[in-house]
Amino acid sequence: MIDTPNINRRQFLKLSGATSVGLLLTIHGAPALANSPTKNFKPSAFLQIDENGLVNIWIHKSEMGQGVRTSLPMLIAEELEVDWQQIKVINADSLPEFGTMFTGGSGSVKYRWKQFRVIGAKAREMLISAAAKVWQVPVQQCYAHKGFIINKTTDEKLAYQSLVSIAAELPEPKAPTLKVSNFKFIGKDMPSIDNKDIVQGKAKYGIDTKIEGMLYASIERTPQIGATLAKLDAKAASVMSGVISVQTIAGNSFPQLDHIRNSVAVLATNTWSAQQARKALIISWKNAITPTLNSEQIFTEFARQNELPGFVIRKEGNIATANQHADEKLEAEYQLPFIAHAPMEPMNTVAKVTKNSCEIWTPTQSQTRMHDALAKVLNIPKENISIHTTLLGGGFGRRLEVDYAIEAAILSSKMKRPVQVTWTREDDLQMSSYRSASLHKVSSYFRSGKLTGMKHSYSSLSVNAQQTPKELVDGLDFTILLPAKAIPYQISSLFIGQHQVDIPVSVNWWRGTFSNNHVFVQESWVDEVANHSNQDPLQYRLNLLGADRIFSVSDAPTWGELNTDISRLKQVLTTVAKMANWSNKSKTNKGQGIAIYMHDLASSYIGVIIEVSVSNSMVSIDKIYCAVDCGLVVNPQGIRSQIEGGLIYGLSAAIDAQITFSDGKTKQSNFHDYPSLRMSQCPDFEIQLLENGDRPLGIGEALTSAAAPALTNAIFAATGKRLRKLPISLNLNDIGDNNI
Amino acid sequence: MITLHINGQNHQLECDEKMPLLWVLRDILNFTGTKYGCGKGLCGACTVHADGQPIRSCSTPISALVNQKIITIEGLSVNGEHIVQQAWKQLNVPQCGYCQPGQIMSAASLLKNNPKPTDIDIDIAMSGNICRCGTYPRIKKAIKQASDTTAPSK
Repeated sequence: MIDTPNINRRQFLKLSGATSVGLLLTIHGAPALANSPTKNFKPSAFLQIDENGLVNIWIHKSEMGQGVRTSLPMLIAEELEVDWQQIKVINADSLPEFGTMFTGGSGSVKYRWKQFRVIGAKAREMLISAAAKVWQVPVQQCYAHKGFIINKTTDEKLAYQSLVSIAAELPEPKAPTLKVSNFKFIGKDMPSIDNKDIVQGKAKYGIDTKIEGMLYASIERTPQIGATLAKLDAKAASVMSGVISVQTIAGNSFPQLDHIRNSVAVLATNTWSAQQARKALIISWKNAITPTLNSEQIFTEFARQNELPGFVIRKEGNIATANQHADEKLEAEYQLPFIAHAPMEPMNTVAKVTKNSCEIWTPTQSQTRMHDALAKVLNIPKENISIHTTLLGGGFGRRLEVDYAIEAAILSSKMKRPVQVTWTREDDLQMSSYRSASLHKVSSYFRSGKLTGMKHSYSSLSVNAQQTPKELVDGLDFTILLPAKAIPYQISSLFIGQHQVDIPVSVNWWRGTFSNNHVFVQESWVDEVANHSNQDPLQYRLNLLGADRIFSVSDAPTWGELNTDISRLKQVLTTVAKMANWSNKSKTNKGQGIAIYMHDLASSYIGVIIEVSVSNSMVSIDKIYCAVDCGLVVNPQGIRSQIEGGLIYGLSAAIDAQITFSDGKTKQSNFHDYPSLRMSQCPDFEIQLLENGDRPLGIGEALTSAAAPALTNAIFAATGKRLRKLPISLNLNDIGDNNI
Repeated sequence: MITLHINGQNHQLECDEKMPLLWVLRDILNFTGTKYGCGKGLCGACTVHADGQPIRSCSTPISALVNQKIITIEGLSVNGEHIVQQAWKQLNVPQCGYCQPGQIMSAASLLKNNPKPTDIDIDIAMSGNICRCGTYPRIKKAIKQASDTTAPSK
């Protein structure tokens, strides 16, 4: 074997031409394999090692800040034994080999943890076999290290790129050996792979897509669901500078999957001209489904429904007896508003549609759904549609919808040119689908000072009922009932009734899903009951959790079994209490509030304590303590980012966010009346990760639900005022019943 | 015809003088690092420097910027080596990253005018920039780190 780099001039030029990726250039020790054809080794749709040693990894999950373009490649790199600098991460197009493409439910690492390690391990074993073949030694004599196969006996090295052609011909190992220790990547802080581009403004989001000949569209949609065009006068708009065309888009009926509103689009040579001309359109709408709908009507309907039997979610003990025998009762009503997602990058898509093909550049969480929707709307075969996923400037569930891409495709089809649709912030807040509001009526029954029963009746809208009624199970939307089923506290008599209300407001999943509604109620309620019983809310929770056990919701559909390990839940509670030096003794105008739960989708265990100080109705959040058990930790710094971010996103909603309606229209329009938490409001964090178990759980959606109840419990501790209505900034004077 | 001085170069433009700088940067000159977030100067995603001061490019017409030196995120440094960009990378500030060019331009301007900002100085200078992902704790740490790198200790 000759110890010289296997590199020819053509390859060198190719290496030099590749930019923005750290390439493996250290190929000392790589022998020239005479007569071996240079080709790629692509053992999986997700992985290819090329003739230059570059490791290409395709990611079919959308990067929206949760770090998936870093964490999933870490799993492959771990098993493949390569240097991080060798890796290039590519966003997968929507091709059949990537299966259903969807990013949500905090599931990317949780559910791909094994799959991605197996991909790396198979490739590693094939490269080892290839080297063993070259050296004519047993595979046991070889091991992989930093992009080389090394001969234990001779210390000879073969770079991966010198083995690709041989490895490519070898059979794929069925059950490769996965590492169980000595991790080089797993558990180590790995910076986001996109940081370098992001800080220079080079990272490409959907809105940054530029295609030759592209027009820019701004769309005026009906502000009332279901309304159709009554009158359109586009004369003034059409003659404005930069305007190319004005087009109508026929929406579809509500409710349905992939609902789009009726609208009028202005297409121009730049975004601003399109937006300006849009303001000059003279439009009126007619036949809205509910032209007089307002928020008060919605909550009145919720309250009416809450008095009806509804669907029974939990029924344990005998709630009627608990009620009859009670010597004390507490009644409380909790209310959460509709809220928007408001990711920083507004909805947008570039579409290039021809007679029989469609190419899309888009920041989406739902490639497969989009693919299906486009095939249907454009009436072209699925295989003629390609979707390129860009980076997402935030997602939070909003980009699970695909309305923005349908609009772009329709316009491109009409114009026979590439078209970019960009929603304004006003469009984003007024024309989007929202996290459903909910109203919860909770009765607590006591006898001789002891809690004997809880009756909880709640109403909300259902995403599945609106979009995918086939996914309802016995009429029930499991995304709404799951967190109610997962209430971990042991209560002798428990009755939970659910009401799905049919109101024409478009709803969608919002980071953390319905847990945000339920956990606010659950953790506020337990705090109220503890305080009513003159007990420490922390100790009361521990008592009510009962003995260490696995609490199973065996009939949870779709997402599989939901098992809460009560000991893990207690552990986050006692850990966060220690971190915060928990004290139930009130200090003047200062207070601590707790929230604990296992998130129903992420399956992670969350314990949060918020510290506030209150003066003159002004609440300041001083500190947030957080103990999280998200199982095995792949990228600790990424997990911490998600913890901080999830809580801040949850706080933003709890403090300020609400969408309200008047005359069937959304009232809020931009960040002045739909405020987002700002730096001056942001507390300090102290975070502890409890590593438990041998597999990672989810984190992206796990924390949002903790913010509201921990905050309102802290305000109660500081002031004795119980806030049961979100957002709190609008309800700080709504003191409620202090005597509970 | 209007001439703008952007990132050290003159650009001659024939577009409407009322067009906000943001859209001239993004749609005409292809400087897409500067982001659209609200169009009303409420979120700071579009922050650039005009004669060293941070401005909201989404609500500044180009007619107001003649003879000013405009710096965008692309012009802040040659290869991401500005102290603020370095601190951002070292502390893993970005999540989705969309608001970060605006955050970085606001932070760079803060440190230029006030090399040793207090927590309150940072809050005031940065509270015009919204981050929906919640990177504020790391932004604050990164500004302090960058400040320690440059500011002479007192």
